[in-house]
Amino acid sequence: MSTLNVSNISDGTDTVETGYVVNGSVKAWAYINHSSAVYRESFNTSSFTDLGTGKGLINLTNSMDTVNYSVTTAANAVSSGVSYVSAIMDFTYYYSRSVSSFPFSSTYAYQTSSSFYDMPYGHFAFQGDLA
Amino acid sequence: MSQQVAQTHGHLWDRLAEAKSRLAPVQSQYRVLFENPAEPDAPASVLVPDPNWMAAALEGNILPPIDTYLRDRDVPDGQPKEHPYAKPIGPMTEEEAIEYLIQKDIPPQVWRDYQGNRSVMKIVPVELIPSDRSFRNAWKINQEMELAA
Repeated sequence: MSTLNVSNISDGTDTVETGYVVNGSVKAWAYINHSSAVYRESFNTSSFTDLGTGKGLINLTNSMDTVNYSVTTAANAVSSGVSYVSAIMDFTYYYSRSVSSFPFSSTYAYQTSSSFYDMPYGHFAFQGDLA
Repeated sequence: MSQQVAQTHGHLWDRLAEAKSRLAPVQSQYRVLFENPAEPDAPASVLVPDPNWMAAALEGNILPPIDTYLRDRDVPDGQPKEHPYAKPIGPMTEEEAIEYLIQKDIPPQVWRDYQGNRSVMKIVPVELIPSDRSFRNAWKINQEMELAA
C-alpha cells in the first residue's frame, strides 16, 4: 500500500486540512443483531460479547488512544404501531470501559414501563483518536 | 520506533481498511461461552467473532501478535501502544483464531487465572447456543455436558 503525504485536500475550489479528514473520520463501526447474536456488518471490531438480555460489549481490533472516545449509537424501533422509545446506551457507569472495549445496554420504554431488550438492529460508530 | 516500523508494514488500522476492501467476511462456526468468576451472579456470556476480523485472521499478515495486546493492557491511558505498529503475523486456522480472540477479548481471570472446579469457558459450535432467549439471563454453562465430554 502506498501513502499519500499531503497537508491539504482540495477540489479546486474548497481546501481542507488533511487532519480534519483523518481525525474526524469514524475509527470503528458495528451493525449487529443482538437478538440472534450475529454481526450484520462492521469495521475494526474483533468481536462482540453478549452479556445477557440488552447488555453487551463491542471489542475493537485497533484500540483507541484513551478511554475518552465517543460512541454514537442507534436502536431500531420496537413497534410500528405503538410509540415505544428505544435506545442503545453507554453502560460505562455499571461495566468497565477500556480503550478496546465499549459496554452498552439497550432498552425500550412505554409510558411507565421499561425493559432491557436485545436490539435486532444495533448501530455503533466510534470517534476519537486511534492508538 | 513507531514511525520506522510503520514504514515497513503500515498501521494496523490501514491494514484492516485494505483487508475489508478485498476479503469476504467469514462467519465463524464457533462461539465462546464463558462465565466470569468475578461476577458469579451474572449469566453466561457469549463471545461472537467479527466476520471481517475472522477473514483477516485466516488471511494472515494483517493482525499483530497476541502478546502485543497483552502487554498493551498495562500501558497507561494515552501512552503509545505496541499492537498498532507491530509486525503482523501469518495466517491462522479458525481454531487458532478463536484461541487468539479468547486471550484478546475475554478477561484473563476466565482463561488464565481461574483455578476452581467449575468449567467456566467452552468453545462450542454455534448450533449449541440456544436461539430461544426467553430465559437469557439464566444461562449457565452446563457442567454435566462437560462431564460427559
